[in-house]
Amino acid sequence: MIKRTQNNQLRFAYLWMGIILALYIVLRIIPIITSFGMSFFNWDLINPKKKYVGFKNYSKLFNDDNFLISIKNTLIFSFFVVLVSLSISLPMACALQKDFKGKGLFQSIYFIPYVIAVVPAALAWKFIYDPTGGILNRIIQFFGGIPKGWLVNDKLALPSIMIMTIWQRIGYNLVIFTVGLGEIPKDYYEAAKVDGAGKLKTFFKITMPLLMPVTIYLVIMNTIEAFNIFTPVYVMTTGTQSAPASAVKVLVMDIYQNAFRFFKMGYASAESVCLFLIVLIVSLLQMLYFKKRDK
Amino acid sequence: MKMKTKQYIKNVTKYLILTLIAIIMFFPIYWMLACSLMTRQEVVLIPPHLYPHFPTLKNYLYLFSHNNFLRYMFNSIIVVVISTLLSVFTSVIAGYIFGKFEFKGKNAMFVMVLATTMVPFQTYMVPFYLMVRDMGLINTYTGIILPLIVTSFGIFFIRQNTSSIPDEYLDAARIDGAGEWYLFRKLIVPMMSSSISALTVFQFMFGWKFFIWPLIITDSPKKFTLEIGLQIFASQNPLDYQLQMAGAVLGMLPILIIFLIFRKRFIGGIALTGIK
Repeated sequence: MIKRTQNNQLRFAYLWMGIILALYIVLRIIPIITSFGMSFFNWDLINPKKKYVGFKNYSKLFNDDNFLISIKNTLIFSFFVVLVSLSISLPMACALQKDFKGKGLFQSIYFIPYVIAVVPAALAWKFIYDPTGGILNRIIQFFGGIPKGWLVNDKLALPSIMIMTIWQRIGYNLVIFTVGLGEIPKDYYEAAKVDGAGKLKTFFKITMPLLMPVTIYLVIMNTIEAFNIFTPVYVMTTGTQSAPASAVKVLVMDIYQNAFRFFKMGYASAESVCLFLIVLIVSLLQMLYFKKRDK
Repeated sequence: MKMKTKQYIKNVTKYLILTLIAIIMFFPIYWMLACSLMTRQEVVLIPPHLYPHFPTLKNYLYLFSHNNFLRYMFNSIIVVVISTLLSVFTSVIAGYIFGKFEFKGKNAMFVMVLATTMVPFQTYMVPFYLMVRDMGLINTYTGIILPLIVTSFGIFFIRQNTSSIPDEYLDAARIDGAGEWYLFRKLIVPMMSSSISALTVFQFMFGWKFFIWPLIITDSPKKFTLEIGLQIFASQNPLDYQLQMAGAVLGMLPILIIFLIFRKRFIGGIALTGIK
């Protein structure tokens, strides 16, 4: 009897694990490995022959202005988006900690930008930023100010896209911070109150350290997300009155263009490997840093 | 009395600040809605009209009569619903097996799944495209859905949550003669309903926002998802902001409605997937 149920268990486990693992290998492992492999070849998608070039694609990358600019832009973009969106959402999460009338409503409104699809949101922002028809410039003009080319201007384009992304990330960060804050035992705060610690001191001495695991999680998730930014940039650089491509070129955009506009499959793969390594290094560094600081 | 006034002022300030932030956060969405009801002239007036003075549904009628928006919406719903169902199913069954079964090679397999959690799709989309192309799945629903049907995050998330199910439960049911599949359907799925619904929300939103892949894999309007169709429509009508905004509202509406109905479940689900 026991033997039979054990056999049944094993059969069930092997059957389903087999199916899912097979899917997993085909849909994840093989493409990831192929990405590394392809980065050593030159291939234009049409020619049946792939030419082996060794590390040439990589050495070319470091002389390619497009690639270097996109790395720089991606780094700037990620740094500010992560920093600003987290610094805004933490105090907001603190304000939403206690129960009060309308809390649910506020939470939902803050969450909506995160929920809606990216293309509609990006189109809405693109129109807000529009140099002539955009509401931002029309308000500025109405008050006698000088209208600015938010997306068209080299210096303003990237920050403008950052603002939109921060707007989308706040809802998510807020919810996760709220969970983290809710898990801090109330006794700590009462003890601090008894000791006469002020609000700010309580925040920095109790809330911040106890919130560290949640903060690490959010920093990593937001950073990875930011490094993979694509949709808003794509939407905002397409069409007239849009951002200059080089000012806002980010890494995934460059990969996309090299692969699917110029059909440089090997070269795009080498860029993909760089993205992979950057994401890996950033996550490892952040984990190490926070671990050290925790001790 | 003085304490009370102080508390009162504090509360009012808090409400004021929260409301101000809410207005700023909601403005782009409000503006999209407002402009979608304006005419082409009204949408760019100075001083701007902050609400439509002569609301019209002409933009929406134009979109439905001159464009494939209904088709795009249908495509999006098919893609998102099927990919969500499949990815939740594979995650629940694999997570359950990783959490509650012992067999050879289990740890090695789990490490493999875990190792790819942090690897973004963008890093292997090029080979993925070539693979799907070789399978002849360009411009097909299967092709669009393919990257979404397994998720290492989902498997990991469900595995972490199986620990709350006592092993004795499963053993007792087995002794009573329950088959493994029956056990899975009648015991595991109901017991894990909150994690499953959280994962469903997560995958649904992920699928809806997944833009880069359908952009690469489709070039026929018959298979465009709402996001792709909308982006292409906007680039073809760059100066018709009122039409763009009406399209954006259509692109936003399905998920917004679902969010408003399942508001608590959405926020709770995202919260749950964050804790791990």
